[in-house]
Amino acid sequence: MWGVVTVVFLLLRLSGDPISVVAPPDATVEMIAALRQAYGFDQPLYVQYTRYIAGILQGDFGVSFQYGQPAIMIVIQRLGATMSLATAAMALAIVLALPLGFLSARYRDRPLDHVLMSLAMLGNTMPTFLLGIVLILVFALWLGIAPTGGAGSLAHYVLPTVTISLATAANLARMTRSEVLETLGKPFIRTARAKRLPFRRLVTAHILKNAAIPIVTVAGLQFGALLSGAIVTETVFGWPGLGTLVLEAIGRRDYSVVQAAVCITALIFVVLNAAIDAVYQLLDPRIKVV
Amino acid sequence: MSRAPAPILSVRDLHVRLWTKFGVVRAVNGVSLDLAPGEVLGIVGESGSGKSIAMLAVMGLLDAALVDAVAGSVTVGDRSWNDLTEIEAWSSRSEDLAMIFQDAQTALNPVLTIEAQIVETLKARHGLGRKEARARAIKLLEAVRIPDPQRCLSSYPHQLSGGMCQRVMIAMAVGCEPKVLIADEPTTALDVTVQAQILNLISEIQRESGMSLVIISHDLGVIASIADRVHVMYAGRIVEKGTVQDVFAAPRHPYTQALLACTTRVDDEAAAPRAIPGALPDMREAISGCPFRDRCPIVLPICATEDPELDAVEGHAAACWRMPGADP
Ligand SMILES: Nc1ncnc2c1ncn2[C@@H]1O[C@H](COP(=O)(O)OP(=O)(O)OP(=O)(O)O)[C@@H](O)[C@H]1O
Ligand SMILES: [Mg+2]
Repeated sequence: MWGVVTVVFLLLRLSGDPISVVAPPDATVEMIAALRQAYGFDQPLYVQYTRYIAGILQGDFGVSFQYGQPAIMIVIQRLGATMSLATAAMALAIVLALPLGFLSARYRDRPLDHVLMSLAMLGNTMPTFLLGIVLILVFALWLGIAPTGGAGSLAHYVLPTVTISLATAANLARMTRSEVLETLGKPFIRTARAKRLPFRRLVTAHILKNAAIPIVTVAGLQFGALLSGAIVTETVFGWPGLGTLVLEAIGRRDYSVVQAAVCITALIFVVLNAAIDAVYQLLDPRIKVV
Repeated sequence: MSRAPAPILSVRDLHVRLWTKFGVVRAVNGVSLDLAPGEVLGIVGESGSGKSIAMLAVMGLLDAALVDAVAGSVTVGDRSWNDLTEIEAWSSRSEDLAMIFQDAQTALNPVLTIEAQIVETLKARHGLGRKEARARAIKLLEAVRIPDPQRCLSSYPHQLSGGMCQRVMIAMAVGCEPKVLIADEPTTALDVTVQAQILNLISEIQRESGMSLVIISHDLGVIASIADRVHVMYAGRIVEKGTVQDVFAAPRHPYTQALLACTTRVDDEAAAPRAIPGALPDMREAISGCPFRDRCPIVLPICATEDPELDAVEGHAAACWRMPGADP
């Protein structure tokens, strides 16, 4: 976490002088100097760094030049939009991937399996932005049944959610298929078959519960990928999320916003990993809670 | 000759071919057997002779992904299955058959409690409700002499010893009230003292319930102590069958003779364990002639060309051209 924070700090300082972007073109040398002082950029790097770290520890990332508000507030507002998009995409991916992956395993090497796995391969290799553009062209411009971009109503969710979730769904479906097949070969499945359990019980309690352990791990990691995917896709759909914010902030050298965004994202990943571990323990009794 | 009671399980001309990394293996080549109600049948044979695969095929528990072909017929009570190729990939053949395995720990689901695993079994088999099923589960665990059934129920398999897991497996199998229990090397993975306990338990439960038992073992002592009859398997076929007394006292097939000669007595420290020289024939090819001929000390010319049949008669028989009655 500290490493991320430091790297961001250094990268941003290397990227150039923010004041030159912020200041109006006709600003005098005095005005620029005054701005520097106001934001603390006249101080040596180590002083800036110490202030920066001290601020972070108090949850203070400084004030955004662009918005004149605390950077953290702006980031959190936008984060909500990104998270809701990523969550919707994750939900869609799971709802699609689990049954399809399972069906593929169930009808292994039969036509249905081949069709599903080819689709998954396609979904996995299709670049997200390309898919986004194609979907906009077809559904928004051509058929006119979905908004081209922006946010606000539920309808606005549809295209970006589908766009972001496709690759994840494809990935998870392939994973589900292979995990189900792997679980099917386990000796306890033979026992469960010998007991003549109802098909549903066999599938839910024995196959899926065991296959879920690795699937959850991958799903968790995929959520991270989804967040990054959302950042690219947001710009395509004009979704007012973190991605759009960061791109804009980088362009304007709005350091405090970029720093806040990166730190919050890193924090999300830490929380995400902890959550995966917790779910892991819930699913697998062999893992001791330490 | 008195008419034997109708068999509870009969298998006719069972053939199993499996896909392996090395090609298609003919794991089982024409196994036939009959099991009378209440009878204990032992199956012996060296590793790879097809004992497990034959019994899994009977159970309908073969892994569909592994099977190339299955042929033959299985009759359980008054139901027959003549087309064995269509594997019930998600279930097993008959509720009258139950099976326990060599490694009980991996045969139990690692992410479910023992309670969940026994209760689901009783629900499926007898349609019991949750409460009744739990009460019955405790009874079953007591019957297999698990000291603290309540605690066992709330445990996961990894928290129990191998012996305990095998007891749970036995309880679960018995809870299905099968007419035939197939035990595939149920004690091989356990240490010696536990082995004897489990074996006694199985034998006792078999006698009390009157079910039939098929017990697979490498250990001829095990077979001798609990089985009524024994089938000796070699290269996917039964090469000798008879009562335990007949076969062990006067083995007829040279393979059985060699097998018996290999087992050293525990009290006989001086004798090093011996092995039968040679190895199983390549199971990928159809074997013409006797499969044991390359290792046989008393081989005849005919052994290379024609496969000796096992007499269909009841009683003691061996598939060998040296047998009286077999005419070369
Ligand atoms: N999972 C498997 N994959 C591929 N081949 C297998 C598999 N299981 C068994 N076989 C093959 O089937 C043949 C018979 O094996 P089987 O397990 O029935 O022998 P066994 O008599 O039970 O031996 P053991 O005493 O070691 O249990 C062997 O030649 C083996 O190579
Ligand atoms: Mg075996």
